[in-house]
Amino acid sequence: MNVRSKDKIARFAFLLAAMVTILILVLIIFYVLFNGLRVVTFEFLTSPIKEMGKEGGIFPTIISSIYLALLSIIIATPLAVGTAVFLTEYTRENVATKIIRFGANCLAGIPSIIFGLFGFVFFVIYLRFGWSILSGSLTLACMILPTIIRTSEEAIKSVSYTYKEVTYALGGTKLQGIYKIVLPKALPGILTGIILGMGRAIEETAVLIFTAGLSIHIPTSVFSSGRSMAVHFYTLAREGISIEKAFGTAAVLVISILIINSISYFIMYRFMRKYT
Amino acid sequence: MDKQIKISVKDLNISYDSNRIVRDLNIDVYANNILTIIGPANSGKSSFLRAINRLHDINPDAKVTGTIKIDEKDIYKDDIRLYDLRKMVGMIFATPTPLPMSIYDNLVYGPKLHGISNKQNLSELVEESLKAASLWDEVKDRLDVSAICLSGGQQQRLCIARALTVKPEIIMFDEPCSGLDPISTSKVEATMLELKKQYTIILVTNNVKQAARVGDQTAFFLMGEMVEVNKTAVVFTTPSDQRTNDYITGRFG
Repeated sequence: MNVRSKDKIARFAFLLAAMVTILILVLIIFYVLFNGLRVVTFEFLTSPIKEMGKEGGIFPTIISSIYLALLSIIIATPLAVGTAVFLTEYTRENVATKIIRFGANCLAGIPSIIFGLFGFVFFVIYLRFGWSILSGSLTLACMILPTIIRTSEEAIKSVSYTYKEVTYALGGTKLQGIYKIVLPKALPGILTGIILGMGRAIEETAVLIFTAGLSIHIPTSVFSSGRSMAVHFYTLAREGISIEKAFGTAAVLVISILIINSISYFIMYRFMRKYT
Repeated sequence: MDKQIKISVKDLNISYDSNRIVRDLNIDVYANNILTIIGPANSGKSSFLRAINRLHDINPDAKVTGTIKIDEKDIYKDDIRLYDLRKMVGMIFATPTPLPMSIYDNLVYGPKLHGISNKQNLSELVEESLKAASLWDEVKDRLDVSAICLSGGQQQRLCIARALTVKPEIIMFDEPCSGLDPISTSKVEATMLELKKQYTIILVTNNVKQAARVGDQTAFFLMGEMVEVNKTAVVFTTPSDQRTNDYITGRFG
């Protein structure tokens, strides 16, 4: 076999791999939307849950999901960005930073059900927050920390060293360099991390079954229990309450994830273009 | 010529990790003069500059010993605030380093670091420093344009203007024209000669001819040691050391 035909075969093999990947994604999305979109109406989105989900809509779960995602982001972002700044700006590569980074990466590898168990024992029972939006958000925050830390760290590292040097040469302090130039420049990357984390929080199920509970009502405070879309879907499907409504919920969930990811690309694109 | 000493360096040694980059350096820099420093790569020229504004402090591997006095004050003693020192000693880097923001924001960046926030004052500073860096006429109508959009030579003059906004007394140029074409280079050189009236200037350059064109004093560095320093005219006509002669006539380096 000559070199050119080898090249052709290789090209075909790689193309095939890429096509299969796309195909899987498209199939899943198509399957969910095909089965789900039939029940997704304006009423489905805005009505309360009736008869444990057999009837009615999913409005409370949408609200709970939004609360959970936002609150977990609000809790996790300062911690994660702070950690990333510490790792990149305040320490040199040494044993301590390796341990912190290793720890953060391990956190990323822990199955979410373990986070759920931890959240249940610590936030729900020990701190007496009960099954609530607060317990759920705190646990989700622990879970998405590594995602935000890692993307923020990469973003901060990619800020050119000369910008910091310019700041020092003009008599600026380290802190001024960080908040005037490093963080603004790293913002698109950090935002991407935050949005990825938000995506994870929205699609998470296991954690929330243990920590946020299954209440079908709209949460009235951070101490109310609330059922997220993913948990609602799980309950409907697992307990065979209504497969039709389960697919409807899944469709809404998938569409929200797609929207969140599109927004994140859009933000990145806007920021990238601004000054280059 | 007025021979007031602005910077006085005694027994300066700089090492990274344990490589000595600059050894036993003694030199005086006169006020309102341009000291040009020539020498091949790795001769310690840039490291010397970074000792004067204490930019080595960022790097824990760097060790600086000896004394550097500016206006009779030892800058490595505690009673000098690092940030005041760096304000007093401006620095222009080899490649233009505009920050990724508008021309105006680049120029108010330094003053804002030092707490100046009055719009009127800032605008005056911007105009003043752009004029001093002979860039005002070229950019006065588009101060809100991103600094990245300027040409290389304009960017470098913007960096000079930016250094001026914090009112330094000494300006150090670290091979400022290494990436510029001859026309931009001559503009930067003209700017330096103009600035000399108000500021003390140290110019590190790889371009021997440039050192001859703008220098009052010239020092030749080789492998971390200063081979000689003298009036520029003397160094370029009757150098006292054979190695200097070899370098400026292009026999090595």
